[in-house]
Amino acid sequence: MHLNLSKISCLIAEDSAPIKSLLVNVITQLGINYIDAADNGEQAYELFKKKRHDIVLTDWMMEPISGLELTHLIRQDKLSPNKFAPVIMLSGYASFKRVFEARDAGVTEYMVKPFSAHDIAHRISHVINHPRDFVHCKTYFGPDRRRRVDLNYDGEYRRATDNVMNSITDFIEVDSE
Amino acid sequence: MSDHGEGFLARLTPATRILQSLTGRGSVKEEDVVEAEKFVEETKQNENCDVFLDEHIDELTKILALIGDKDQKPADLLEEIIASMARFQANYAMTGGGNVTRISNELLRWLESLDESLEEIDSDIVDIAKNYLKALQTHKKIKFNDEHVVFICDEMRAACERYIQKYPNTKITSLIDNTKEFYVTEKYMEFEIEGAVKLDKYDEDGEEKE
Repeated sequence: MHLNLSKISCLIAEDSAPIKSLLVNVITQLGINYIDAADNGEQAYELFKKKRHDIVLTDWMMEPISGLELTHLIRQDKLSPNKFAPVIMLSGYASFKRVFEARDAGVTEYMVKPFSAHDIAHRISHVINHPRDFVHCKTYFGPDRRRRVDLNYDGEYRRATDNVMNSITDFIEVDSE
Repeated sequence: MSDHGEGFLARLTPATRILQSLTGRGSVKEEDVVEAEKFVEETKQNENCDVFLDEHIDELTKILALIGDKDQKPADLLEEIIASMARFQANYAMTGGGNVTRISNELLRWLESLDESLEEIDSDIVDIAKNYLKALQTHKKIKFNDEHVVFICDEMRAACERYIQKYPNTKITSLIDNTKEFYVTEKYMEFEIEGAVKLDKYDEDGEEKE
């Protein structure tokens, strides 16, 4: 089965002209027809408010509004038209510290530059095929930051949805026997 | 406290699931990816990567000149060095800068791995950074071949290892790459989970229902 990306829209925020142009070409070739590109987070957010894009690809280091701040706006701003939009962050940074910073801003996926077209295709298909639930708390709004089921976790599950988690854990344990 | 921070309010099923109704499920067509990859190669061959080299050399020269200035915080300067290297490494590699980005990559990943433990930029770090800058300036003049790059990478790696031997208490943190799963860490499984509320409290846009 293949994805049909022709009906979805994508917003690109990248301050380097050649990389921005490359991203537009790659995304177009992958089959997305509706693409907007901005030079920085500020321009990008203005476009996002008008067009409510389905997927956002953003660079980290941009002025005057960075990719991190753009993600904050998309997730938290009252005027944001699509707080659930998947945000794929592209960055030269590769340390976990940066990844956690991005994750805590509400970024959905993180890619280290330099990237290939395959990397982009893989991340786009991943956010479509595996959308994560969102979590809302006083200090965070964004995709659930836990990605794994810890089969060794022996503490109590107290969240309302954790009966589902228990079922999954039970299922995996039974299945593995 | 919940693992999502104090005051956990709700888990929401995102509207982005609607994307699947537009796209279906599956992978991107392989032939489209192969065609898209050609754009990546074209960019490497046709773009002028030297703009990024000049920019990086200028930035690094200015930052290194500020080291030792009492008005400058060492952590901020290190942050600027890392940011400049990250930007250069990414853009230069994507526009065909080629092998020399391996030198940048070597030092950038090392600095990033030290980032959380370094409290000051000591003279050894400055030495390594100055030699890196010298390497880039030389590359600008003569354009390194693969042999040069391998030699300098080996030298750079050896210098970084000597640093760790000299300061054995330096904490090294691991780095990510695109082939590994994002967000994988044990740390985030250690928190207690509590404070869940009824899921129907919020609508799909995250707004509280009346």
